[in-house]
Amino acid sequence: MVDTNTGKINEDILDEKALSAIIEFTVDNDRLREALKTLKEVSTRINTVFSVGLISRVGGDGTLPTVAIAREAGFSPRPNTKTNVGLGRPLTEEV
Amino acid sequence: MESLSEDYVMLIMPARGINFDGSEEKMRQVWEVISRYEGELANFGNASNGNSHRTTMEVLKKATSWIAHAVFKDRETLKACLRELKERDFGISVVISGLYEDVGELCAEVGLSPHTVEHSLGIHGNTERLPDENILEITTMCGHAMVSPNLVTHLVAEIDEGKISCKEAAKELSRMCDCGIFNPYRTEKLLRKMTTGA
Repeated sequence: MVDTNTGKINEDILDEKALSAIIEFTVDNDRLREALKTLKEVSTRINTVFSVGLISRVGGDGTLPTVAIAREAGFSPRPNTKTNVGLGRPLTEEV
Repeated sequence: MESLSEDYVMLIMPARGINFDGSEEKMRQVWEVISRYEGELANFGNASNGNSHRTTMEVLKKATSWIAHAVFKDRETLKACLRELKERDFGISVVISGLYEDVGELCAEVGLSPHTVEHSLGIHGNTERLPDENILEITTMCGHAMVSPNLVTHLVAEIDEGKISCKEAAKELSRMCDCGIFNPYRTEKLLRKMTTGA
């Protein structure tokens, strides 16, 4: 990537075809709505498809505040998820 | 939605840099636990050793593997396996794909508190380029896109012509997913709805 601020990609690979590509990044809860709305807007301007996966830590009360934010941003979370059941050790906060 | 209640994928893997070193023997023991439920599984395996059409539990119990996949078609078997994994306390991450509310309830019944959850927020962009929803319901069971929509269409035609059964077609599609997370049991039922076949 030539410019990580704008997302500009190296000119020499612009004509290459890829079967799939994954973009992963972290975003604070207070900027999640903005990030999701941007994805919504971009989705109207591209000639391919992309899926969106939202990974969140479960709150102490067992809830996921990010799901409500996603709904407010116009997304419909699917009923099926990937749930890390918490058996791995050490936990992230212990590392 | 209904068919998802017969499709729970368990993924177990150590994390590089965290608990990867020395996990070979633990992963063999993980396979030992999973093997006790083999008769009720829809599929199992991993990309290195192959899916249940190419490998066996006996091979996996002795192999060096960094990922274990097991596909459960019923909640109670999944619960029993999860409870056993909790009791064995391998310290290796376990992720379950399936209906969020069911998995949450199941965790509570076993005495686990989920750590992290990934929600799918759908597919976006020029979705007119996607195959039919019925076909996507089958092909997306393989996260690496190894199950071709064209193969589904071809097999649906073969079923309608009476050349192949829904069960045989589901097995053929399942064979394509090396990791062993594709669910032929659920696929057979989906194919029955899409065709006139038995």
